[in-house]
Amino acid sequence: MKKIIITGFLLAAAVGSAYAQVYKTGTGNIKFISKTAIEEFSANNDQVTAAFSPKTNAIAFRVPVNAFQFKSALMQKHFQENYMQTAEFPFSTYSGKIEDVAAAQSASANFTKNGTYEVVTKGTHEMHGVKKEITIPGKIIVADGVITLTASMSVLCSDYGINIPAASKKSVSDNIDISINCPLQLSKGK
Amino acid sequence: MNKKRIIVVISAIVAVGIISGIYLYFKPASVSSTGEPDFKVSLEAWLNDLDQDTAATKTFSKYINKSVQFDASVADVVGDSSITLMLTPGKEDSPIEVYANFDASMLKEVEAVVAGDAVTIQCVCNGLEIPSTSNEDPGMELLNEFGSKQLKMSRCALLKHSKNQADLTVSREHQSATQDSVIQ
Repeated sequence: MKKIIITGFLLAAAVGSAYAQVYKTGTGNIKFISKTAIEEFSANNDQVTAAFSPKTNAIAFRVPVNAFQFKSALMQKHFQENYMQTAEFPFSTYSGKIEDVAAAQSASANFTKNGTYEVVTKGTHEMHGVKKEITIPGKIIVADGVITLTASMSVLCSDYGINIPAASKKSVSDNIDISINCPLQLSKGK
Repeated sequence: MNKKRIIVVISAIVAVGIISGIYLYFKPASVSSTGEPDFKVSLEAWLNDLDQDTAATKTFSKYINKSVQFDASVADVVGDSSITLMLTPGKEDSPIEVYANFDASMLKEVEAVVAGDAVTIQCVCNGLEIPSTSNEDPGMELLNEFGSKQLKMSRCALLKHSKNQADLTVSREHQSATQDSVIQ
């Protein structure tokens, strides 16, 4: 009887600790591509802060906008100073929760089993000082203790008050394709 | 000045303009911070100032997109495509995590750097992440799982690299590498 009680306590503690886990990274990746009929360009950023809690199904990203690396120096300067105004708005953030919680949880046992899980998150995206409620479809890939968040989405610059001058409208698209890839490790705590 | 000469001068000016435009348009973006830095700081003193300043997000804006040079000790090396050095903030209880990102093309220069090594680097500041004070946003609360503040820098250049002396004493293969290696 004593053994059963001790085993029960240990199991409860193990489950409790699994639920309290937070996965995070400070070096996630985000890329974006702008495509128009006459020009295509992209930028890469390996400085994304991201976190995911299997307990609450909360997901968050924080992107230092200045860290986007372009091929062209001129484009990078225009992006930082004229479009995104990074001195005033250094970060873009997203804070959301997995929408189909029940399906995701039952499928994954709280993302403890290896596998690829299709999820939809709903949350608040803030960029260039403008907040918008958005829905992002993505994947949670669980592989041997590493949880990777991947997602592809499109945003309209005009939705976030990012003004593309008339002279640049043929070369800079209002519709920007974004892809995110963030492998997260179990947090060691603060 | 005759008409022919005027045409030649105008054509030359237009040609110089077009060439300058093409050069500027195709000039590649720098992947590492070079030249005289905008700021030369002691990392520990800088972090202390940022930590004690409750309005650090505002005062920090003077560093955004500026180059900063400092000495640091490497706490960890992370990343796949590019390399990020997590730097020791100086004092153990510092609530600031420091990330210094090197572009993928700089991989060869930083591949020898391991945790414990001392480095002198020059980076461009991207921002100081401050924890959210909102307790109604579970996502933002998640980000508070990190150190209370995160200093993000990229386009880093490795100026000086010294192997961890403790490692050198126990590693025979590193015995010849007792002198600092100056990269630039």
